[in-house]
Amino acid sequence: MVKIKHDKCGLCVGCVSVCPYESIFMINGKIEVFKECTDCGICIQFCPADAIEIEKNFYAEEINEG
Amino acid sequence: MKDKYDVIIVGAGPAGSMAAYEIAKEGLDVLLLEKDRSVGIPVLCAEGITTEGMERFFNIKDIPKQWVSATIEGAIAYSPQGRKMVVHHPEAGYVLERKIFDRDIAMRAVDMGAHLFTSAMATGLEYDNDVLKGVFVEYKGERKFIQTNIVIGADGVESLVGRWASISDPLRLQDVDSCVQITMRGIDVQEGYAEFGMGNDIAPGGYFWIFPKGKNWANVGIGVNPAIAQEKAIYYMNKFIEKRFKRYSVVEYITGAVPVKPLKNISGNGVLLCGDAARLADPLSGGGIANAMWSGSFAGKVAAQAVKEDNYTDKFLSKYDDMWNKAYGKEMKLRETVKNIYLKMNDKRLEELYEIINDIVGGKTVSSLDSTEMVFKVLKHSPKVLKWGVEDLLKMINM
Repeated sequence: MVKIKHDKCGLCVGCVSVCPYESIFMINGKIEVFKECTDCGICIQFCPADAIEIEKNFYAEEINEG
Repeated sequence: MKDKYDVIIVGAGPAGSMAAYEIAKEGLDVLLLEKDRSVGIPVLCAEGITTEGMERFFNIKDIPKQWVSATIEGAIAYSPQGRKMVVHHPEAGYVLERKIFDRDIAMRAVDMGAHLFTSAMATGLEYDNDVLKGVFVEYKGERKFIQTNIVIGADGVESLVGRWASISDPLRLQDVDSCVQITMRGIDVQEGYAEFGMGNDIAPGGYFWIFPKGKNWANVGIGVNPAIAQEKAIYYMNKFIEKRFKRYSVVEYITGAVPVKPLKNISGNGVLLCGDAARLADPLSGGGIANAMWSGSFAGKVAAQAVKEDNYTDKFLSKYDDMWNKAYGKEMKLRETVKNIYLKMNDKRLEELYEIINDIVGGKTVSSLDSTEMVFKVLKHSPKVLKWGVEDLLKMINM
């Protein structure tokens, strides 16, 4: 699932407009990502403010390193 | 809020408010829903509109002073290498104060009889055998079902109404510009002149703009095409600001998505889309206010007719598509074609094109900037442009 960096987000909802999986919405004035997210990254490519990133899986990283 | 309305409009921006006005004017019962707490806030816009776009609805002499931040009397354009061209165009347009403008035209619709609520979010449409039965609305923590046979989606670029009605799909990256804008105070700007700049290193697939709102403040922004740009809009913005402004204060910071490819169909079963929801921003400039008001007003007229004739089929409602296409479809297509040519130009080409346009209008005073006329002038001035992959454009202007 992608992660929103709320302090950078400009709330333009462009990510909502481009998401092919309808898995990102503005809820109560905040952008939220839902479980249907496939990490396709289109929202990341669109985001003018660089406010979206792929959330790194902590355990996967540990396995890779370990 | 009642249980039943003749028409429900989702979104109280310029498109929705103009539609509501037209419907209320016909004596019909219309509900206007705004998901935000206040009409007009937040402003997601560079606030520029041409005089032509404004005078379609308002007598220029009667425009309230508080709607207008500043008037635009010309343009300054920069080439990729930074060369500067000035074109004087008296009464070219306005930089609006959208917070006030949006609220006033929503109230204008209310005064005509429309019923407006804020913090009211549409959450879905209900169909029964392809016939629209109503809208689900969340208002003050309650979920309501409100009956209607026709909905106007004026809910912006992220339109959910369009998706619920299966009229629009998610935007493709190449069809939307990624934008950042800062309203700056305490800067040097040339009052009355809108500035534009282009270049593949400056704003790939888009341009930067400075729309003065007064003598020391302006909406300063940049838009890039995310399918072309290597970096985020904010990266190009920071680079531009560093070069241009030694010191500035930030009054407002916004990001934005501007649709640059209109939808093929803007109506469906029981649903009409207008403004950014129908992706009717100008493909070339990205300007959306004029087309939003225009399409909203058409949508209102067609919706009122549908109610009077009790006919909400997609066939009947396609009158709205016809009306829009007849009024502006050709110009829209021309602008889209020019935009596509622009997207393929490298900086060397852009510099050449800049030179040609500078020869034609640089330093001069013009009274209009008609795009078809400009295309003809460019081709006449420099037939070499014919070799720049402009076949689609030539077909369109019958050359």
